[in-house]
Amino acid sequence: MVSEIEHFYRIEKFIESITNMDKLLEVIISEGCAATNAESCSLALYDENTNDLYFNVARGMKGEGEVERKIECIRMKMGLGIVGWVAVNMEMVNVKNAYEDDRFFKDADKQTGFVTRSVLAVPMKHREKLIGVVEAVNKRGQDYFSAHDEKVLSILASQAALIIENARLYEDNLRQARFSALGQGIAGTAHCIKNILNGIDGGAYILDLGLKRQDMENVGKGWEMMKKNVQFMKELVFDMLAYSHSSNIKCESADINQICTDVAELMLEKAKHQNIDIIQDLQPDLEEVNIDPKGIYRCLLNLVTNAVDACDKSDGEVRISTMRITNQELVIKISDNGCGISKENLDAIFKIFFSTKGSKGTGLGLAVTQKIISEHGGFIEAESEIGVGTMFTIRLPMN
Amino acid sequence: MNTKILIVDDEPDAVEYVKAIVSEIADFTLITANDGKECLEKAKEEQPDLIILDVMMPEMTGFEVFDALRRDSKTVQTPVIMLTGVSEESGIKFGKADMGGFFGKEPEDFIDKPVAPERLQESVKAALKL
Repeated sequence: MVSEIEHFYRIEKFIESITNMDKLLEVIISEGCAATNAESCSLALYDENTNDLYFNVARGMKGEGEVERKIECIRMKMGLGIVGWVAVNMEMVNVKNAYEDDRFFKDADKQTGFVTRSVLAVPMKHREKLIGVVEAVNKRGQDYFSAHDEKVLSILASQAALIIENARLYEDNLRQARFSALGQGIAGTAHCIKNILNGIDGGAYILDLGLKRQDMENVGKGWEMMKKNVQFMKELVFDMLAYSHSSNIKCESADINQICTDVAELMLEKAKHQNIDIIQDLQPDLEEVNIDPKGIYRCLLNLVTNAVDACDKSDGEVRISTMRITNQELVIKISDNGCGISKENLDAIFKIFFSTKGSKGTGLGLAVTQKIISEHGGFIEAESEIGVGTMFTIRLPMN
Repeated sequence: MNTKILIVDDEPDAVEYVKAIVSEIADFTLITANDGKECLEKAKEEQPDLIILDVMMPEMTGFEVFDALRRDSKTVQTPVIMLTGVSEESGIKFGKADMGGFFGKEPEDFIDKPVAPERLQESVKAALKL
């Protein structure tokens, strides 16, 4: 898992040098400047979310005695200035003297000391969608930009639009892929461990502060935090070992109903705190079966904990039930009326390191549960509906 | 004290830790949030002088929250320090490439978890120009 992420990261770094948006935009601007022989060129990107234009890059090739025109990181409302007009109307503008044009926004020059004369601005469109505007300013050696310049900048603008749009889509995908990779695998577990360490460090820090300030409340708070996180660490290590050992189970004659009750009672306080009911619906007179009590306890605790976590709303209900189906088979069901699991995730939930719980999820609980159940010769499956709830069904052979 | 700091993390223990570290610098007014949505609401309402923002959160990551902060005129300039639980040791370094990179002022700093108290304190002082 670690090496996979390394490779992914290295490839990504290489591709980043190509799709680095800033570099990309700089190249486009330089070419625009050179191709039209302009003193300065700028590129404004259209931000759909805020409906304004963001001047990302402005480049001037400063000749002797020329003032460098600098506009960076400025947001302009749509419609403002010649560039704004071009963005709204999606049409090119070629102006010989900016100051004689009503649309020109004089304030920018005031700030930079640059004097705008001729302006050629072209919209960047991708399939009729506005990507931004490319602007060439102050044609060198001439009063205005020619028809030839118009053609050249238009072609460049459409190229740029395509590249920018692709780079954006790519970056979106890349970022999503990176995040899903990070949430899983060894990196995901390392991340869990880091969070736990952070909790232990935090507890120790707060405890120290409490001692320093003679504040017993902080001493208590810090100590509880440390204890809690040490417990998390124990559980995480247990799960990792349980998963990695070839076979863990030591079978003996045990009472499944009693195990269910033990789990329910352990979870009762946490559940009550969140207004969640834990209901036991256990088949009376259920005989003892040959199982690993610690292992089954672990499985049921994992499933009930997940069920409680899933119940966000106040009338949450978790139900544990046992029943004998035939002479040969015992069924244990754990259901909740919580948030539910999506169809896509339903296939993945038993996979190791898969978790939807963000920083709290180790991705080990269900993987270990499934392993223990199958070592008993049993099966576990899940049914769920988003917004309705989830039910896990365990089938165990009676012998 | 008038200086407000908003601390955002889905882990309550992590929030407590940051609160303790930051309270050692000065008597700031500390506000907290447990997820992206709460962060955005409180940032707009309370106008904190600094936001300390966890990256790895379920539903809305720190980066998505940052993006949203920068797109809103009320919070476009608010300084942000990002806390990340995935660090260079695992071979992955978060940076500008993950920020969407197009719009607005970058985060002041990226700090790894487990948080080194002095590191965070230096960063906070720098961000608040103390």
